[in-house]
Amino acid sequence: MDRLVLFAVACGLLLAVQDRPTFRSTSRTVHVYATVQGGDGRLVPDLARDEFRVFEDGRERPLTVFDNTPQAITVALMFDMSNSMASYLERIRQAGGAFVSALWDGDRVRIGSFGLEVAISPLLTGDKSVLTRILDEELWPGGPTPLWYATDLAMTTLDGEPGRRVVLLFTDGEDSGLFVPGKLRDTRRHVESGGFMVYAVGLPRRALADELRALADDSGGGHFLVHTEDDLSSTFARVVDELHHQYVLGFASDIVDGKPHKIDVKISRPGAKVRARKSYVAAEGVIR
Amino acid sequence: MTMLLLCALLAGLEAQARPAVDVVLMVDVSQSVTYGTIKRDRTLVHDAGDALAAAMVAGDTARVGTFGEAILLDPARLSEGAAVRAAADALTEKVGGGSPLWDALVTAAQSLENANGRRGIVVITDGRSTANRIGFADALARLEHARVPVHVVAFDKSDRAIPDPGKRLIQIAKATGGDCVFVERPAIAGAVARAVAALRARP
Repeated sequence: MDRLVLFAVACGLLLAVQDRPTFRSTSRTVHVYATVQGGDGRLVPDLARDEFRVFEDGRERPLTVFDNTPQAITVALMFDMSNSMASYLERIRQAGGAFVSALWDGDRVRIGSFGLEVAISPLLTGDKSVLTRILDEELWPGGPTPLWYATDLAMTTLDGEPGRRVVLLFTDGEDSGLFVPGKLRDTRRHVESGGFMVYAVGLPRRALADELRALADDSGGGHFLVHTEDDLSSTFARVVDELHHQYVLGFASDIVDGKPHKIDVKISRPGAKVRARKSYVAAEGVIR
Repeated sequence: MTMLLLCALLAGLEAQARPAVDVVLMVDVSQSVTYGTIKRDRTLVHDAGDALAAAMVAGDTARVGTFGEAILLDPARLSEGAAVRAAADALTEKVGGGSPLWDALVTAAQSLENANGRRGIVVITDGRSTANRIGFADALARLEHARVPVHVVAFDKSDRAIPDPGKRLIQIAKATGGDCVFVERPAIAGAVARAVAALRARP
């Protein structure tokens, strides 16, 4: 009798499942990496989940992901080797060395340069001896400043990598657009659709191009103008520290229209400021 | 009959005087070598291949490769000048990108692993090595171990001498028993011919 009851229940359940219409959820997680700084510019790593609010196209979304543990980083580190940077070569190597020294286990870096060539190492590695070797052997001054093409190519080399992807540029100027293709519009689109973070470090007395600063801001990255050449190494180390201590936030979105959508992150901690990307593209597949 | 014997004798003497070589010609087609204000220089591989073909004698074999965006080296050994020219011309469109010089030299040396007799690499480059998987010290050690002489035809279009890309080129040529010459663009073909002659003259 018991078996009969069980059989009937099982059949009932099966029928119930078969009768139920099938819904395919299109909800996906949009990840947002946020940097929080206090009024003194120092990183603030201790915010709680309920101190963040995230808005998608002006509508608040509940946080489905929150992580404030230190994060490994994946970075394309790109050096401007145009003519005007030639006299800084040793400083640049030192700054690159400071960046490499500040890396943690699990971090991965690809080093590239742009000038006469846009050359990017095929090696994406955390091996500090390899990275130091590349800094020592593969930086050659000379040529124009194909900034947008180099940024775009750097992103392309990270396109297949999971998680947060960062392009860190060290440059003194504006795109010169010689010898190679590359347009700001295409680079901007790549940043947005790929969810890349762009950081830019500029030299003293040479302001970073407005377009580059805007690109970095919109991506949730940052831009730094070093005050003296002596600050170069500390600035690079600071960028690594910032990347390690970003918050990982996420919210569910069911939009699949292939268009850009605004993101706004707010925090309730008095005096603190947050930087995060300002948009994402709701393309099919994995949202970056 | 006497004439035929004389011809055979002369041919034998010439072969002794000009022993066969197995050469890999690697041409740097990176952006720093091929850039131009109006258009890229796509003639370098053609000119180098032509010079190599002209320097070949009966019994020689050769391969032509390039390095830039990628390292391209057809494994087939070519024994006819016309085939060498055709192989070079097939590579003329693929220019630009980085300069994986050390990777290219190691690839070339590996392709000569089973070669007998006189063999060597002739490389045309500006020495601005970038985007390598293998570092200079590692490449140098591998080339020394392979006992493959590297003859460098160095050609730098830029006016930036610091750091000097020639230093490592001289070092790698010297360590492998090759040579390094610095030339202007019009002198490249002659330098390739002299490099092949130097390989042939090796004991």
